Amino acid sequence: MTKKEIFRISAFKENSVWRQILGICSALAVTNLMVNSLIMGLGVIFALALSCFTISLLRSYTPRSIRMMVQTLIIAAYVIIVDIFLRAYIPVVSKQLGPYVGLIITNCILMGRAEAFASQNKPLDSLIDGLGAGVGYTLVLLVISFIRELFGFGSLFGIKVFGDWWTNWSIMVMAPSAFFILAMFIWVINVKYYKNKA
Amino acid sequence: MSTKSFRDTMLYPIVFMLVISFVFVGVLAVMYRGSQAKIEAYEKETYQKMVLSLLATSIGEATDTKPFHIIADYPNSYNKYVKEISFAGLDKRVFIAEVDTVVLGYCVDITGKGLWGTMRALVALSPDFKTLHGISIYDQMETPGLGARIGEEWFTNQFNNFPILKTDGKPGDYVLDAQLIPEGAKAEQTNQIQQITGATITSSSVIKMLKGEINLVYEAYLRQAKL
Repeated sequence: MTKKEIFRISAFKENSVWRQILGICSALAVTNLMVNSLIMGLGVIFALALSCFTISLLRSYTPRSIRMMVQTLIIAAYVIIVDIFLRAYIPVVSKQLGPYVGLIITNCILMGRAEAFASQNKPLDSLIDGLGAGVGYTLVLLVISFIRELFGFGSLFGIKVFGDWWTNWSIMVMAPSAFFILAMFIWVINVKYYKNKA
Repeated sequence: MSTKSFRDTMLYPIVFMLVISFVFVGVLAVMYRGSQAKIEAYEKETYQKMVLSLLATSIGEATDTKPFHIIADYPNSYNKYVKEISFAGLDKRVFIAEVDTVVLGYCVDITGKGLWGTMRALVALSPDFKTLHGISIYDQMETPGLGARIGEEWFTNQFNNFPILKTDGKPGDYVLDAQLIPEGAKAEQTNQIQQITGATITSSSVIKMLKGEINLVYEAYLRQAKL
């Protein structure tokens, strides 16, 4: 597989969210504002790519019996780095994301990519795979938050799009709306991208 | 003993895990130490700025300065006018604004239960505690877009110059009962507060927090004044 293909497969063809239905919890929780989704996505891309890289580097030394412990430790370390970075340099966003940054550790996508790809492939390939999966995840988050912020707040990235005539849809700012949007999004992807029969 | 055979022993996974834990925890500790001062400084600054901006109107009136000049002059203005004090028997942070030993107002850190978790707020009070000069809710976990709107200015501004004490207050019951009215309705009495549509529990939690906490603070203040 070429590097480009690895990226394409993990970001789109085998997208973690719409194909493997992983990372749903955070897709529901942090998608009410686009800024939050973007920062969360960047955090996941960073933690995912680097932890995949590190796990792959250590893969031949890691005893099979404790590989999951090692993976969790590595993932946790990178996530804490993201958390510390946000708290020190972008405190406003850190406050808004609240506990969700720390919860990247429990994001199934990270463990999933570590087990499925990084523990059996070369470091550079794993890095690209991690990047791809992270980009795919961020993409879904941005699509959901685009709809939720537009209808729920009448704005995009905090900039007012609709005028004063617009009445915010309360449902859009609450978690259930993300369920509906995600489901419909997966439906559209299945029909249009995979050409499955609806 | 060759490496190969050591890797087959039971000891290898333990040693491996220990080493890798040390390495990663070490890296994190260094990173945390490096940014700890920055994080704490930022938190302290935001907090002090909030106290200052709540007290700025009173300070401005006394010194004949525009409130935003006082806020822009942080940290000089903070060090000059604001002091942290404590009331006996009250486990809360209390700040006092003074110009030439004349008390201009108090600022108290209060907490209360919201819908999803603890809310923390700073409230500014007049020197006699009768009037609320402002409130700033700085920590809450309410629903974004609904309850979280308690942080919005139109909501908190309703508490500017809000008469908080009853005229006939008794011990344990000093605070005026605020009355919630629908969002967008016009307040006909001074104790009416527009609540947030879709966030009834959060709105009344704010009122409840104010009532309970300011009661405690006022009692402590009275005790202190008697001493």
